[in-house]
Amino acid sequence: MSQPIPVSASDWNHFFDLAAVIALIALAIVMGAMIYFIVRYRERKGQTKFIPDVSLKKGRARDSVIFASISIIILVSLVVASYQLTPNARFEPAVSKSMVIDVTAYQWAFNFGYPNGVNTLDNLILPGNTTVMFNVTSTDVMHNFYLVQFKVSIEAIPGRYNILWITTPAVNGNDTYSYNIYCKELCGVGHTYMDANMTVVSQPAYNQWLASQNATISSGTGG
Amino acid sequence: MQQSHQVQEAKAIVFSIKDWLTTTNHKQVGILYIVTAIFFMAVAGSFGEMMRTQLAVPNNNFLLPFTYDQTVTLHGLLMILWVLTPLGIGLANYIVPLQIGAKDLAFPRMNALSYWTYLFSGIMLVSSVFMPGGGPNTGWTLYAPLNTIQFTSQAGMTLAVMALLLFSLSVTMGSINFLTTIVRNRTKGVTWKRLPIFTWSIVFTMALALFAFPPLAAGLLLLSSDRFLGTVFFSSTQGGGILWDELFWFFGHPEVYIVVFPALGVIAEVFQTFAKRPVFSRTAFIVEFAAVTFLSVGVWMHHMFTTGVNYSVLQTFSFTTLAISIPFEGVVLGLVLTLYKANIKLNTPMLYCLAAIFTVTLGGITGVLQAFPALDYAFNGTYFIVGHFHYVMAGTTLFALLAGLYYWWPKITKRKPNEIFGIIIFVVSFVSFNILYFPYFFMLDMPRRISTFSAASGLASLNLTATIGAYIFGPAAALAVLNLVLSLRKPPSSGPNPWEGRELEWTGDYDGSLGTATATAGTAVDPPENTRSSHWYWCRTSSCASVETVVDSTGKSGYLKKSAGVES
Repeated sequence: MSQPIPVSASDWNHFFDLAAVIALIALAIVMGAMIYFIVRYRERKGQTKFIPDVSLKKGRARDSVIFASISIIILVSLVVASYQLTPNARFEPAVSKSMVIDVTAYQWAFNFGYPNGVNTLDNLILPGNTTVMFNVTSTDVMHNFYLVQFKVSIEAIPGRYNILWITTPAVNGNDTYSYNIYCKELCGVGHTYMDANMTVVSQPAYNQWLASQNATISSGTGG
Repeated sequence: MQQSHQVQEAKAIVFSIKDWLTTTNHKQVGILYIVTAIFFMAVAGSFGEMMRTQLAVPNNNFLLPFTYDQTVTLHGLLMILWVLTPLGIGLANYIVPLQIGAKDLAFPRMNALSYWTYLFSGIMLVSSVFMPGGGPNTGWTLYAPLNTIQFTSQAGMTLAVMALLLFSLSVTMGSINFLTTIVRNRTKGVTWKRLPIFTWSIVFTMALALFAFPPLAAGLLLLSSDRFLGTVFFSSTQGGGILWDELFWFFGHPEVYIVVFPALGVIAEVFQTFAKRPVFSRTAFIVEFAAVTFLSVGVWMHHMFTTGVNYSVLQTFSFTTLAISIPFEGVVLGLVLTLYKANIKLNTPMLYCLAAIFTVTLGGITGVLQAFPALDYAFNGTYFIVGHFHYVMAGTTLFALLAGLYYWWPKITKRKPNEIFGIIIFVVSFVSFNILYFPYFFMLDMPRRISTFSAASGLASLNLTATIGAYIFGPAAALAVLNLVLSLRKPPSSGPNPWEGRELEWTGDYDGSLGTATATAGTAVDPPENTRSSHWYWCRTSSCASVETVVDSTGKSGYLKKSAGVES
């Protein structure tokens, strides 16, 4: 089953690919040089080699400056690229947030509070093609709200509301997409099993589900 | 006379337990440090093997979650603080006074106190798991408010906090001692310009330790107050958790460099000796080293990118983290370029150092990837991070400090470890190290410190590969140490300078335990005015008198190095 890659994850993947390629080139250059030096300048049996005295007055500081400059150029270009990409990776508050979910983490579950007062446990249902803001907190120790396939996470800290936002992929008809939510911060013995499911459904299906939850609540309070 | 002195020395070493318990001699304290660190390495390594056993297959029940959490915590705390840090300090204890021609450390009794505080704090930490209710189960980061009495009420947790306090006391005393020694007790001719690189690395390590451990101690005192007196520094919902994060990482990040710096110092020494070249651009190398030291106190917030700090803080610390990578890269490149036009002898210490360069480069670039907050939002708290820091810690630091042990072993024991056995173990440990940790870079879906995973997660084969690697790497590391120990069975065989090393610990023979300088060449000779590169030149003109100066066609002076194998 192939699910659409969320936009935050595809942004992440693009930037990761770029950074990883540059990193691997750097690794290849350093390792290539090292291996070349080892092969080229290794001590051979029976050889007599002229070892020059250390340059006593002249350092090789100039060479170092050249190498430092090269790495500065590479890193600065990466920084620029990252600054361009970070807003896409949902660092700036979304301009139009169409939906707010209160996430309350505790040992060892996630409670999701919907705008109209509905609460669910370890089970998050979201409409497709919507920008969702999570208002994340904790009632006991530190947890981490990690949306695995969305490649974003935020700490759940007692007494503090942290914000994280995503855009859910568009969903047609009766399709549903399911994603994983993990806790990434060691939070006690139940940490391993502290996870939740996120299901993205179409807007009509979501409305229908929310209405049924509302009905449950009203009948519950009424009875 | 010479013989009987050696016999006496051997007897003193082996038989005098009282001597070892009361010693203030830097060489003996250094050996105590090294032996103790290796003991704790065996303990922490066993915890590591237990964790890998639990994670070998999905839904395993070898360790229950609470046991697993304690294993994680003890493995991390022991390896970083009670193994790698003291292993560097142990080598420094033995070597630094010799490199600067000092009789001993400036405060020998405080040095002994540092050691014994270290030993007892380690025993306290290990014994915490045997306390009723179990030991600490918070991970080595001891995040608040999980570390408070409301969530970890067991006495073992309190004992671990006390152990950490005692340990920070030990390191703080040690850092003052080393800094004073290096500033005050250098012998005539050992100027700052000529200070050996390993000693420089210890200067930076100790300066950083002096800066980094007090915040940890402050945090631990506040935590003790919370646990004993019922204060609410860290259980408060008004910033308690973040306060601990700040204090811990203000210590925690420099601690990474405290662990890595002695390793880099060892690599520089080993490269200089076995490549017969001084370190590339020595002045720039030391300046870059100093820059890393300086910048490392300004990057701690990159451990907190996901705590909801504001955007400008994210960008600032992203920038400082990238900034520190520039001089750090300079240091690593300086080491690699030392091999340029060199005369490289590939023996055990050299191979471990080359492996350490590989691991520090891979560990370094994966670290740079995490400097971008956008990427870190996914990396943070997953096995990618675990892979990254194991490449730096278990790779670079452990390999390089092992290289240091192999390199200075003839100095310490007058014996050379078996070379062929050493190289075989090196190959096995290097390959298995990568089998163990490389899969971690693909385990972004696996949160850290989970005690098991489901079969549906698709992580089974990667985890199994890592476990196989762990089952080979652990014993290989043990064999690398065993190879050193086995050499003790043979009679002393190596001369005073078997590697043709050029620093003062090889060329001079200032025996601190005797309290007198045996004035061999080196210490007695004033080096030429223009000598900048430590004792590099010094040795060649004095104790290595058999070497004759020649001038090549371009007018450079130097000497002819005949490699072994001509006669055979």
